[in-house]
Amino acid sequence: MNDMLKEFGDSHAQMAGSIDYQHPQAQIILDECQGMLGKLPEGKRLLDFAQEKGIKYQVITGKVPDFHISGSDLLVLVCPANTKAVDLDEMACNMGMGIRALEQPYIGIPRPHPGNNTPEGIHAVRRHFLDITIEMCKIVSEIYDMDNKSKIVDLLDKLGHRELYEAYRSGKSKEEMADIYFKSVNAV
Amino acid sequence: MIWHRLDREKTVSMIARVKPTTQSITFSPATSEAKCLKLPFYETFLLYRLTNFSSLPTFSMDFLSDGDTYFYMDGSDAPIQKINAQAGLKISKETVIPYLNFYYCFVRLPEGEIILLKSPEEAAIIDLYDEDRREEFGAVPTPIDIAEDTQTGTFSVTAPVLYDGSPMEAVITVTKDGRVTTTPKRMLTMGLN
Repeated sequence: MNDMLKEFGDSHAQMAGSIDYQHPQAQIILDECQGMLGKLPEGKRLLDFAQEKGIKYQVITGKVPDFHISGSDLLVLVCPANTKAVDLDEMACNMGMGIRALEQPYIGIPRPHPGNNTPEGIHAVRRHFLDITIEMCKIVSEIYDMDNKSKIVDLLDKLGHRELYEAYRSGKSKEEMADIYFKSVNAV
Repeated sequence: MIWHRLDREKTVSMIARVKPTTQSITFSPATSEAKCLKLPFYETFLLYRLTNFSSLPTFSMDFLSDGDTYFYMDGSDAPIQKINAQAGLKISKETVIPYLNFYYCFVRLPEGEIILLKSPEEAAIIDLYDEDRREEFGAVPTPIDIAEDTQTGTFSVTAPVLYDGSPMEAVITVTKDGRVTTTPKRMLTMGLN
């Protein structure tokens, strides 16, 4: 990442029990991710939504870049302590997906409840992941259009969503993308 | 290497020890699982994992602990170095590869992802996000050369690695106190080496 390169990579071990796992570069990470998303049409839309709904952010350290939502208005981003090892595009993409996860209930996608194995519960989980994965394709596509860097596309490829990404790029319908997505996840 | 699930009492105790001071990350004994894994290069510290199954995606936190003190695996090598200095590290020809597999699994390096490959050919099929593969700490690369400097206790390992997405032959040094340096030597052409 950019400013995050400054004087970092030598954090002290965090002993659990009295800490909040807060990333020491939390504010810089948030600023850089928001700066990146703000350059993208979909990213800007998500940031506007987050601001309108008063979404709060927290950045904690962790093994790999990730996100986690807590309650209806908190997005927890996970970022390795050594930020030199982190790709800003990947972190920004995680922020975008996290905001989308919090947006889902507002657009008719109910929050899934793990462990609910009723047909409705399973359907909710499938809708949640389909929507988040298409959102990832959308953000990755906009990042690629902005800077032509393929690293983030390669990451999506490694996650097994190349076909879905190409379907999104070629303007396939939501139904066609759903078919591709469920075929790929069922094959795993 | 086999994970052992903690019973409810120990899970409750672990949650009490590692729970964050903020309420943003919560682990409830009813919806969480705690497990531990013995590592061949530590005498008293085990790897612990706490997973919350009530969130989507599931959320895990990893720690090194002696059952009393927990060090959070934050993606840097700081907790590993802390344990190495505090509790000692058993590095030998038998444990150096498990140590490196563990190290690369838990430390996010500026060079990018590094994985010891079972063979150069594995580069074509390996899934970076396959946690089970990443956690095969006993996986031994082929070909491999392990040399020990008996004066310093430093090991030098030459092995195929996936280095930021490319198959490379690398020379990896592991000092007696567990510091790791990875030097890529040459690109490997899968199946032709």
